[in-house]
Amino acid sequence: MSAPAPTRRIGDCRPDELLERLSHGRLWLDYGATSVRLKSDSRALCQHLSKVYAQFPLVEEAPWADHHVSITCVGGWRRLFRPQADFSCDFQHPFAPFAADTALPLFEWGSNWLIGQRLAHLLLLHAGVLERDGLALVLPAIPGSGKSTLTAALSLRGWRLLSDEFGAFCPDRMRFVAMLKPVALKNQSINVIRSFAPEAPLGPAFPKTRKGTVAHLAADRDAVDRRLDWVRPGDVVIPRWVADASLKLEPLAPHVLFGALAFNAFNYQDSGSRGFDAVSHLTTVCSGWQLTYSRLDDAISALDRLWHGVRDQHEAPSGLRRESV
Amino acid sequence: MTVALRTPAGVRAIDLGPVWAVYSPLSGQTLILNTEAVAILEVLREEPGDLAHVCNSLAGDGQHDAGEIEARCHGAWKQLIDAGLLEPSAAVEGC
Repeated sequence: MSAPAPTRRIGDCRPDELLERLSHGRLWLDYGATSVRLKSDSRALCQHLSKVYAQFPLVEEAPWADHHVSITCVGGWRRLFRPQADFSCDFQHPFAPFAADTALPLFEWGSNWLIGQRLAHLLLLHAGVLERDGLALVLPAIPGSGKSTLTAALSLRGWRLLSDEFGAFCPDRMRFVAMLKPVALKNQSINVIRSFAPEAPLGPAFPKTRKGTVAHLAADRDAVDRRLDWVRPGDVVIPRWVADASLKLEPLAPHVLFGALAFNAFNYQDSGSRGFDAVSHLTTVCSGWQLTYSRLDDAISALDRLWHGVRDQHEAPSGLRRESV
Repeated sequence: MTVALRTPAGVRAIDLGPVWAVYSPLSGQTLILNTEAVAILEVLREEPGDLAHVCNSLAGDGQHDAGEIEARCHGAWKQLIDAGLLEPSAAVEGC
C-alpha cells in the first residue's frame, strides 16, 4: 500500500519555517524501511535539505522515529576561523566534526552509519535497488563500479528508485522495501549525470570530502509516495563501468550470484540463518547477470530489454529455477 | 574408541550448481562446499559416525571404493569440524 499523498512537502516549506522546525527537532524523514528525526541549527543544512529531500512529506508530528539525529554548529572561538558541524545521535558523537558547509554529507554519511549499525531485522545488501513492473532490479557492486551512476540514470529513465546504498530485503516477507535516500554521486559521476539529464534534481557539489567531490540526486515524487510498497525480487545485475568497453550482459553462475549478495552485504554475518535463507531465496528466484558498459544509454537499453523477459519469467507459474535443500 | 560426529540440527544448504552454500548455526559461518563435503553432511545427518563410516556408506551408494572416497573426503573432514558443520554425537565403542 502506498503512503497517502502528503498535503505539504519539504520543498514547499519556506526556508525560515524549515529552519524553525529543524531548530526544534521537528523534521521527520521517512525513508521507507526506517525513519529519522532531525534537529539542527545549520542554515546550510536547511537550505540543502529543502533541495535533496524536496519531495518528502512535511510531517507535523510523527508518532515514532527510529533514529534521533542532531547536526549542531560547533561553538567556541574555532567557529570564527573554521566553522564546523557535529553529528550526534542518542547523546553519542561517533564522528569528528565536518566543515560547517558540508553538513549535508555529514548527515547522509552519519545516517547511513546508523542504518548499517542498527537495522538488524532486514538484510542490508550493498546494492542499488529499483522497481519496474512490480519487480526489483538489484545492482550489487563494489565501490567504483558505477553502481550509483547507473542507479541514478535508471531513476531518471522511468525506473522507481528504492535505494542507492542499502538494498533493504525483509527475510520474513521475502520482499524489498525502499531505503529512499538521495543518491550520492561522486567525482566524475556528477558531471556524467548532469550531461545525461540536465534537468536532474541535483543538490550542490561538495568538494574535498573524504570521498572527493559529492553531490546528491533527489528522489522523485513517485518514488517518495510509494516508498512503503513492498517489491518482489526480479533479477540481479552486477554493473561494471569500463572506459570504451562495448556493452556485454553475461549470465552469472549461481555461486557467483550467492557470493555477490551475501558476502557484499552490510549485515549478512549478523543475520544468521535468516540472512542465509534470504540470500538463498534471492539466488533461487533471481537470475544473475554481469553488465559491462561504458555508455549509460546502452546499459539502460539492455536492462529495459532484459526486463521484458524478467517480467514474463516471474509471471510464469514455474518461476523457481533451483530448489533449496 | 573414536568419537562419532553428526551434522548439527539447523544446518542449511543450497545447491548452486557445481558447489553448495552451507550455513552452520553453531559458528554462524556460510561456506561454499563441493559435492563430497555435502555428501558427508547428508550421511551424518542420517546417522552419526566417523570418516570411515561415511566413506563405507558412500561406497555402498555408488561404484567407488571406500578407500578412494576416503582419500577424496579426508581434506574436507577437518574443515567441516572447524566450521561447526560437524559436532560430537557420543563416544561409540569400535566406531
